[in-house]
Amino acid sequence: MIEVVHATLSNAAMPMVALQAGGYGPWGTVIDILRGLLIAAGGLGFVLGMAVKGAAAGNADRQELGNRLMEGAIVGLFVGLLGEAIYNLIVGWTS
Amino acid sequence: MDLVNGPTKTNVTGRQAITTSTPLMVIVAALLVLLIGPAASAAFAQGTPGEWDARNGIPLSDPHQNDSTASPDESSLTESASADPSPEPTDEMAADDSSEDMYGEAEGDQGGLAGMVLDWFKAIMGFVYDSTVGDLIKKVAEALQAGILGLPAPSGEVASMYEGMVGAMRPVILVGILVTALLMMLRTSNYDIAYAGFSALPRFIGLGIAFAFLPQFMEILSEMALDVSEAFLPSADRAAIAGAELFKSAVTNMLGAGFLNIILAIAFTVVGFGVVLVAVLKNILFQLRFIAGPFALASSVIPGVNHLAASWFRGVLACAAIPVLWSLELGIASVIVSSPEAIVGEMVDVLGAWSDGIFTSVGAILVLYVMYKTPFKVLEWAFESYDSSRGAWRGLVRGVAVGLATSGIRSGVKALAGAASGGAGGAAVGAASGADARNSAAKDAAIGAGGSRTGLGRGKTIRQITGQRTSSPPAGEIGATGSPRLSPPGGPQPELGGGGGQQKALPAASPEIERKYLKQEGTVPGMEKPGRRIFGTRKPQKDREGK
Repeated sequence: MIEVVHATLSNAAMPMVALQAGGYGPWGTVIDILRGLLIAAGGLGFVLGMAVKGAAAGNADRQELGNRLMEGAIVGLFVGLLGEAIYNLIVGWTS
Repeated sequence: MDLVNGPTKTNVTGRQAITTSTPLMVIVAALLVLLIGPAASAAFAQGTPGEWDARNGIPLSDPHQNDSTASPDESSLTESASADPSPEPTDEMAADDSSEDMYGEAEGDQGGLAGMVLDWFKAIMGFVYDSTVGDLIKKVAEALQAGILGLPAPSGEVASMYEGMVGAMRPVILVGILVTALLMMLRTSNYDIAYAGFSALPRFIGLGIAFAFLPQFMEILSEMALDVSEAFLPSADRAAIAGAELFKSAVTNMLGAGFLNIILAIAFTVVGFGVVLVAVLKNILFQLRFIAGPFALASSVIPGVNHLAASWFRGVLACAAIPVLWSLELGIASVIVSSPEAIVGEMVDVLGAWSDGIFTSVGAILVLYVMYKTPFKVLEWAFESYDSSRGAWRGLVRGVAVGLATSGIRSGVKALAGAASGGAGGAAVGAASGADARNSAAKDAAIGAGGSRTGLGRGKTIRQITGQRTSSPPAGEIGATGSPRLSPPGGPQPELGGGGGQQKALPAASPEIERKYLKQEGTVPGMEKPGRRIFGTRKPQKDREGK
């Protein structure tokens, strides 16, 4: 199961990383690593959140835990994947 | 107008010295003073050196030149420069002007071989001055005006370097956004959407704005510094009077050929050269601040190192404050030089037998010394831990070298002591070192060398709490490491400030203070009381249900 999730996330993340890499000079490597971590953690958190919620049944605490996992994953992915767009906007406004 | 001819500048002693002996020292001193005196006086005059007496061979500059540093009211400057800066001419002075030369010697009262030799000497000096020094002084005066009181706006290659730095540091914004997103994901209860929306992202936008507008800011700051400096400068006529008095004193004292005058000339040379060097250093520092701006601005959004941005900004302000302070000091200098009686009262003529106008020279030297020290004090304010009191550069280099050496030795000895014998061995090392074997040092040594940082934490904490500034190491550190900074027997003693570059020490914490505060804080270094959170840790938060 874990291997399948990992392979799926890797297959999804790598093209995106390759697409958005480059053009950042010495920071390119750091940005690539951060973006890969973000996508991997977001996907993992989202899947784990769904799994926890599915297994929680009527347990409110576990439901809450699943909600927080999914909330974090979604918010992080939202800001992270839009990071480059936000960055370009900032550069455009301030250049 | 003859700036150097005064009504009372006939120097019989000097004439005798020249005509009878003509030592080589007199010529050397004359050249030295002629080189330095007009340059310094031109720097004092600040835009008014034009219209100096051509008879003296001092065509310093055209008053209509050097527009880059002229103040907006250039017309008034020009008028003042062309005006006679000396006191109101009287009939006696007019008569003196017609009969005296640049050295204050009355023409016509010298005859025979002595007069011929003196005339030849003056002719040769004038020719040498006109052909070599005069043009040089003109250029030096213009350079000093722009270099000392100016703050060069970044441009050209420096601006290109800045653009390169911005290009290198700008992706920090994207890194910050990604880190923020990651933190939001991992600790969503702490770094939520509100934080990202209202705190982090605006800071990144501000960082981008700072990158974009820093060149404009530095240019505006440069112009402001120059404008304020010009506003604080002494008035044009006052500066011209001061410059003329300084030059007159230098030339007339030169003919005195006294040993004191040679010393004064050398001191003037050394201190003036120091001021020029510091002015260059100030300009270099300003350009360095500009180029390093992207790094400092980027550090402002990184927790833990954002104090670097504040220090950088204080440094920029210091660079702008230095010329402003210098302009104030030049204003005081003009008063001291032109009317020393306002400062020293009736003492102004008390040394007339030794040196004519000695307070003019001494006052100029003192003000130049103050100008030399000013940048270091301003930088000391900008960089709070930077101490310029006892040899700035020497102290800085010494501090770095000693710090590196002692830390390396300390860590090495600590590792050896800890590996060889553990706590008991550390105690033995501490006792053998003689560092306060009578009291608790040996005990603390055992604690410190036994793998605990208790000793270091105690000393550091006590210094923090009591506000003491001392370079004496804490007792545990001494005992555990056998540091080269060992205290003498009888307990840690304050280091005396006699050594070059050493920190002036205060007495170590008393046993009462140590007991008082060690009771409160336990073994954790820091200022927190027991039960309080350590700085950097998060306060336990209730969850959304208030549990």
